[in-house]
Amino acid sequence: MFYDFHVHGNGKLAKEAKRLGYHAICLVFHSNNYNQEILEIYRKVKKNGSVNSEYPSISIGVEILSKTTEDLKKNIKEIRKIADVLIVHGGNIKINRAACRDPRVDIIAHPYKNRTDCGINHVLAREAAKNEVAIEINMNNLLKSKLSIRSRVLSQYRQITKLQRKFKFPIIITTGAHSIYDLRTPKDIIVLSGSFGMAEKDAFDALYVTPRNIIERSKIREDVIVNGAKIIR
Amino acid sequence: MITPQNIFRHELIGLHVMVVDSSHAGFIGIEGKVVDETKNTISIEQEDGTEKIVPKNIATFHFKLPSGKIVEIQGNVILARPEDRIKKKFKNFW
Repeated sequence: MFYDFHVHGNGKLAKEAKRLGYHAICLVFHSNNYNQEILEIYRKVKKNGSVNSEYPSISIGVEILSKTTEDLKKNIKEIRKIADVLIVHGGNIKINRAACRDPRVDIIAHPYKNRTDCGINHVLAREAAKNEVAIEINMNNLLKSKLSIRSRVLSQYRQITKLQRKFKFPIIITTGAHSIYDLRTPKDIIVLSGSFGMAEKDAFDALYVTPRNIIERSKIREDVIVNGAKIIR
Repeated sequence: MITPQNIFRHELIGLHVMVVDSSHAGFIGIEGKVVDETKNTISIEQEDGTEKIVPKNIATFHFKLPSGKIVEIQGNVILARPEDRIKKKFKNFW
C-alpha cells in the first residue's frame, strides 16, 4: 500500500498511478488557479475513483502559493475547509517558518526550492515535529535536473534526511508528476532514496506511514476543538 | 451553557467523568461524578461512595455533558486552577 501525495493531473494520471502500484494519490491544484469549476472536475475524478477499481483512492489537495506570511495565514484559514490535504509551496524561508508553526498545514512542498541550503534548520525541524507538518522530498526536482544542479538537490535531500533522523519530523516522498512519464514505481523510489542516505525503512515510512497519518488526521479534524480535546460522540 | 467548545474553560464539578488513559494503570477505569478540583488534581466520587483523587497531567478524561455529548480531554489541557482556566489561552486551530 503506497501513497503519492503530489500529483498535478487528471484521471489518466490516476489510472497510471494505480497500474504502477499506488493505492492512493492526491491530485493537487494551485491556490491561485482555484475556482469552483476546477473543484467540480476534481470531485468528479474522486467520485470515479471511489466506484471504479481501475482508479486508486483519490484525495483533493491544494497547494498554497503565498508571498507573505499574512497572505499564507489567510489562505490556510480559507482553504483548510475545502481540501483533504493542504500543501504549502515552500522555498522562501519566511514561508517555511510560518508553515512549520501551523498545525493546520499537512505538507511543506520542496522547502529547498531555489535555495542553496535545504530550507529547514534545527529550529524549523523541531517545530515541524511538534506540529506534525510533513516535509516533502519531491523526486521531480532530482529527475529533471542535471549536472551541478542535480548534485545540489542531492545534497539538500541529504541535509533533510540528516535532520529527520535527529528531530523525527514526518517526511514524505512524492513524484511531483505533471504527466504519466514523471511517475515512478514505489520500488524505484525506495531504491533511489538510498542515493541520499535514506534507510529503506525510512523510505517506506515516507511513502506509506506519513501519508496514512495525514489522511487519518484530516478525518478527525472536524471533531477536534483544541489540541488535546475532541468530541467523541 | 456548557458545550464541547467551552468545556475546558467551564466549571467541571458535577459532570460525569471517566478516566480512559493514564501512565499509571491503576487510574484507568475510574468513573463517577467530579466533586472537587485543584490545580493539579480532580476528585471523583464513584458509585459506591468512595472518592478518588486523579492527577490531571498524566490522565485522559471522557467528560459527559448534560446534553449527552462526550468530550475527550487530555489532562494537560485543563492543568490550571479552575478560576484561572478562563484566562488561559488555547490554540483554537488544529
